[in-house]
Amino acid sequence: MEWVEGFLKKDKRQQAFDDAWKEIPPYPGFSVAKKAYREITQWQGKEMRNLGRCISAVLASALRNLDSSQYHDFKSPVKCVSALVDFSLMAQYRSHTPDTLSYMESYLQTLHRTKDIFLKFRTSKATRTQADRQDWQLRELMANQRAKEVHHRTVANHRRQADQERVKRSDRRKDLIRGENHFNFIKMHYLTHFASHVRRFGTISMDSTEIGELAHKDQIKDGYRRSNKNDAARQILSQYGRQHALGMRLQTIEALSKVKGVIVAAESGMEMPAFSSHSTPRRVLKGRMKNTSTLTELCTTLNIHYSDMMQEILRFTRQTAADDRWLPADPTELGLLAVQGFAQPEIPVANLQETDRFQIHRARCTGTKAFRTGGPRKH
Amino acid sequence: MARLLALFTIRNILSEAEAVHRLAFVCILNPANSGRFHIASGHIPLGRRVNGRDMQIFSIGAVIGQAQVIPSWERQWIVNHRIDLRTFNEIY
Repeated sequence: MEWVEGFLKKDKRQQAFDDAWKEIPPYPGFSVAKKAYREITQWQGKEMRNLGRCISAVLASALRNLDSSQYHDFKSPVKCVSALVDFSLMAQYRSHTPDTLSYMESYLQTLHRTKDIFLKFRTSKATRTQADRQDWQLRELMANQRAKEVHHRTVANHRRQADQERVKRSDRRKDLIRGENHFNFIKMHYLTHFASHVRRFGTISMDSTEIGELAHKDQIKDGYRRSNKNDAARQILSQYGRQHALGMRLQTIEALSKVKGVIVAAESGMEMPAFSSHSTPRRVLKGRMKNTSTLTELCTTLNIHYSDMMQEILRFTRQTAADDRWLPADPTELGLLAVQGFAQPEIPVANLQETDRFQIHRARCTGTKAFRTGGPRKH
Repeated sequence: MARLLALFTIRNILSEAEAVHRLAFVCILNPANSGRFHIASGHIPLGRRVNGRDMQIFSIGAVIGQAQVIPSWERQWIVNHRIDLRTFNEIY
């Protein structure tokens, strides 16, 4: 993020980035940042994940309205950031194919090909100190040389020489920084091993260290609390072992029920219908609106033109087959029908590669107003 | 892609069955730039429909999920397809 900040600062695009950052709408599983990105001093794991999910779009939005001279300069950073985000997203897949692995490798190649644009923003504190020291030494040297010169100089000459010295010092500083900055750090190198790791050991999400951090509470702290504090280690291990075995058993039963739809008792041969807890949830409408019992009232509440609404309902009715037509085609009759307005649909969306798990998308219906009773939208 | 303007159920009290139907009144957003994605970032720009009717009625069943759009140019947005794995996999 520091690299991106440096880039935006250099090209005076910080304000545009801030504006786009503030306009990020909510999304299921994504927490909208409450602060401006520059105000966040320390990025936590969750914030970093959130940032990764929106940085590419926000950056693309910030680097808009380009002229032809800027286009080439601004293409590389967007490409670099997008490649990194794409790589991290694809690394989160729960199963891989040779195609997905080749995609990962190509993203990494793009990242390495385009990352040089950020090289100048990777100056460490040590390099800056070294550059300052070099600058100071050069200044001293030049002052000494100037003092040794005996002949008298005009003011114009003096100014010209001072300018030349400043340019020389600046060039030397740039050379030093260019020579010292690099991308040879371990986190950058790790990425090259991701694809080979998947080929050898399977998906990367299995090795997430987050699970280990969470396990500290479930496996150790809870186990310790349940023990009699006497030889606690042994009791913690046996408690966790029991829980784990039961958990595995439940998962096996669930998997068997999904395959056949029935559970067969091993010895008796009796079959019982399986209850699947993962049936597809229905779409639910929530947030009943007041004073929306007719179409006219609904349109007034949401500030929508009644004629537009009526026209579209009639068109929709005409599209359905004559036998299935369930709404009157007469506008007067339509106006008499009972209506109830809602603010929020809950739409179940299956997770990628986990079709038995659903994420509930809670869209907001705010009419012509913006989210959270804000003013009207720009368009 | 569309913006949800109104969400309502309508009961045909004039018929015997009194069937209830769930409808959504939406404002259609069309892919801008002839649907070509941005070369560097891969994002798809959206804009309001300029010709033809931009409002439509759909059954709630046609709504398949939420999308995150970020304002870009004037009256244009870009679809953030990197917001979750599913969207990334489907749009990419």
